[in-house]
Amino acid sequence: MNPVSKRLLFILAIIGLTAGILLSQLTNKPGQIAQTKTTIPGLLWPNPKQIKPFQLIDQNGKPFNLGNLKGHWSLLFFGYTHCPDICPTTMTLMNSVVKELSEEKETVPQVIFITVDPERDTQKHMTDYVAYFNPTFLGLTGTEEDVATLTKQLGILSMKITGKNPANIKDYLIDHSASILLIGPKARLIGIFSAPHDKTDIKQRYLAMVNFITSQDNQL
Amino acid sequence: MKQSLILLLIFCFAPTTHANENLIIENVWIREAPPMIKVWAAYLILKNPTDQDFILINAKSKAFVKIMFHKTEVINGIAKMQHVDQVVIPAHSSFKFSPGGFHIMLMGRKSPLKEGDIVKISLNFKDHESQEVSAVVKKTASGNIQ
Repeated sequence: MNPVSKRLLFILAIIGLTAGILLSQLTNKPGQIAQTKTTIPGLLWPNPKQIKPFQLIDQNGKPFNLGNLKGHWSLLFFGYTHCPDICPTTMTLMNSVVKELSEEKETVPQVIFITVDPERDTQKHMTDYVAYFNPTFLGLTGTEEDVATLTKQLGILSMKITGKNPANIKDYLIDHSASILLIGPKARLIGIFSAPHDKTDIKQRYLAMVNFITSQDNQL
Repeated sequence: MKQSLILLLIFCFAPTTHANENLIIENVWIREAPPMIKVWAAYLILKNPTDQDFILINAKSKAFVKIMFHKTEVINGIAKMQHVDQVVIPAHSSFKFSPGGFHIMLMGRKSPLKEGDIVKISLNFKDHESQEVSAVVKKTASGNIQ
């Protein structure tokens, strides 16, 4: 075989291989096809992240771990009780969302507030804070390491910003992720609602995600 | 509305020095926080119908130890709270303190507050007289969550 024919054969082989890979991707992955059927912003499909074990305590002092996420739809929000603006705004908004879902007899998620400030947000502090917004809400705290075990795997960031008076070690603010996360009944991260939050938008996307995931799981 | 009309009439008959011209301050409210929280937030709208810029330099209230101006910004999904030294309300313009944006941070609540209470806040401006406003403690801004 002369060098020109060899080169032509090589090029044809590459084209064939590429076409084969593309074709197999289009036909062999049901998840991929399912993805093309949905356009829900914030939905993490077809590869929702499986949450790994973690250990925190709720506002009543009861352990809260991976098992407590299973079998429920959960909305997670990470913040801190000394946050005067975005945290109470988001908590109030989530209260309105679950109230409307309940009135409309839809699937109501458990709402979980997780502190990124375990130093100040003790269990007792969380009890009063969470109950103020909704007595059914859960408020989780733990050691810094325990909180980090969950935040790291969910991509939640937080940074302590020291106040103008460094002598007062309790005087600080925390920059933190403002997204609301949706966890499915199999403890998978199903969706992310990014700030700024809108009540109707979150409710509609939440319902769309619940319906989509439920239909996907039923096909298995 | 009535207040706005009165102010409008005042402006119509004001002397040419515009000595009586002032800001119109509306929708002044404080978000009710859980009882043990000492850091609260106030929101309001400042309308400046005058020909001069107003610069809000600080605020004081007997109900709180310290008051600062802050801005919440969400950058790449992270909510950041930034201290703002002063706020400029340009001539013939308005400035809004609202949830998720600028807020008046009320630090060190001195005594318990609940929905319906009124808190007096004194707003101090550079080169203009101070104005006292009455903020109503509410769970949310009227009519909507944001």
